[in-house]
Amino acid sequence: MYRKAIASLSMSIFMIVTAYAETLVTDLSQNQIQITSQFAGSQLLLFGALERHAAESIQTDEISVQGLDYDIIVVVQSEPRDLIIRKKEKVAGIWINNQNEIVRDVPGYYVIDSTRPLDEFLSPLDQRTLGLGLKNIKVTNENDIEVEEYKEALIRNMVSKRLYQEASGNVIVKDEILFRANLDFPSNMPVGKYKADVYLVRDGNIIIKHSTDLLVDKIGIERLIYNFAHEFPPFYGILAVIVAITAGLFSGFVARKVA
Amino acid sequence: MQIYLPIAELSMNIFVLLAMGGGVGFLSGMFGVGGGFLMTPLLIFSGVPPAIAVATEANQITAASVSGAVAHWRRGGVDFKMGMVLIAGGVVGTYIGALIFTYLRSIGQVDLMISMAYVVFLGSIGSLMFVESVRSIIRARRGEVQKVVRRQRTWVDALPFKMRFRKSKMYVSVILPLAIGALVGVLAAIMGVGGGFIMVPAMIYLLHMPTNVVIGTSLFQITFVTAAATYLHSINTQTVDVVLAVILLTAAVIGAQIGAVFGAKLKGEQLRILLAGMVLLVCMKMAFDLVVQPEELFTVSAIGVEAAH
Repeated sequence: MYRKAIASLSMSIFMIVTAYAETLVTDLSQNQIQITSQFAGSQLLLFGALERHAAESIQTDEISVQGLDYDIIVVVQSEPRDLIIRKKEKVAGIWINNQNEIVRDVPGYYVIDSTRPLDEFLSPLDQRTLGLGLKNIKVTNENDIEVEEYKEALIRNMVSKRLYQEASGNVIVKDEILFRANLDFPSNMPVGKYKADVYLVRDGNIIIKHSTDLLVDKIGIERLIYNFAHEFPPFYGILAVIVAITAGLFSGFVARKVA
Repeated sequence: MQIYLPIAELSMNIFVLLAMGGGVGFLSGMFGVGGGFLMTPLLIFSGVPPAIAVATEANQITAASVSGAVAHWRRGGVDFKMGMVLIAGGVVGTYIGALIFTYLRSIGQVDLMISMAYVVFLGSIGSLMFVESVRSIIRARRGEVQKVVRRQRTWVDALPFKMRFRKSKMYVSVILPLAIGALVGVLAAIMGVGGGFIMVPAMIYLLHMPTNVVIGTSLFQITFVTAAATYLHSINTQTVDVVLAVILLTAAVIGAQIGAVFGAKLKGEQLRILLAGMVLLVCMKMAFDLVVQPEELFTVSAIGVEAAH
């Protein structure tokens, strides 16, 4: 009896899902952010379109009512990496780094935004399992234990550097088809591979997730200097000395001429 | 206008950097000092990670001292033999200093070490300078003339491994110049200073070198020792920011020219008391930052790298 009811229920859910087969298309205004000598942060536009293939049998006005229930979540994060969090304590009258915790695989950059506050349309459990929101970022140490004090410190630190941002209401949906989100990247953002995830949510369920890759890179003379310093340290050192000696001698020469 | 510093990995206003370089250059021209002990703290106070401030300053001081060394050499003010002995000690000291620096950086204590070194050295040198210049001002008011005492034999003369330095007309043990050079080398590596403020008094009061070769010889040593520090920091920790060094250097050269003109108008004692006051001020700011509870007790950094503030 119950079994039959459940079977018919799941059948009807299946029907609804097939009836509203949505497609999500997203893109970024740029797929690469390049850090140059004048780099002072950057803005990027993430945009996309939502297409609903409604079944013939469903009436059109019903779709538009249904359409109001769509929500979009945008998450941009950098490739996870290991970080060390140090805690200062007062020792013999001065504040020194006295404790630390190494945390594994945390993003160096994490921004989340959505059409409405997450709690209004997604259950806390779903938020936690999908790692949506700052409080749901997994911050565990080498022994896979989450140390609350260090997790809070990490989030506080990253938020103050604008490397972690949590907001809502900045994902704008237009005509229930087009959506866009302005993303703000500070100048201190880490270099590397990023991924922009877009989630489409309806009736508290995530129905589509779409990922776009983003590359943050240093270009021009800065890139050259940085790479040179890290790939050929002895030559960089010698070059730095030559630059200094040349500049010193030249400026001394100019100063003598002027004086 | 913002400029992105490739090694420090942060963007700073170029005019602020030029003003800092020019200001410190002005003071160094006025007081006849290198300026590293002012520039490094200033960079740290303005948000450059301390390790990068120190290594980059070593690079800038190479540039600042080389033209001075050449100018003194033209006037015959460099004792090359003594200079080589000081450099030999200095390179060993720099090597040790860079090792300490690298190790402390890996365990997250390099900032503490830099601050403590500044507090200790600036505190003692500043106080000594202050007391000394106040005394000489009082003496001058009373119309006393400092007595010239004939040099006594001291423990310095008893040291072995003596060497003859023709330029300085001296016959002294190499142990002391080696030790002085080494100490200066350590300071260059861990504090980003030339170390003239230690070396010049040591050469005058401990080695009894003739004053006409003291400045030139110390600049000669500083050029090579800070070059060694630059090289070692580049290899060990990749903390030398050439872009930052060049910006500071350009402004400092101009500032130093203007400063020298102003310095010529002030009396020696007044200059020294002003300098002592500034040294003590920087020292107090450093000490204050160590003692007062920071707003944020936690810092986050990539593994093996210290955090930007």
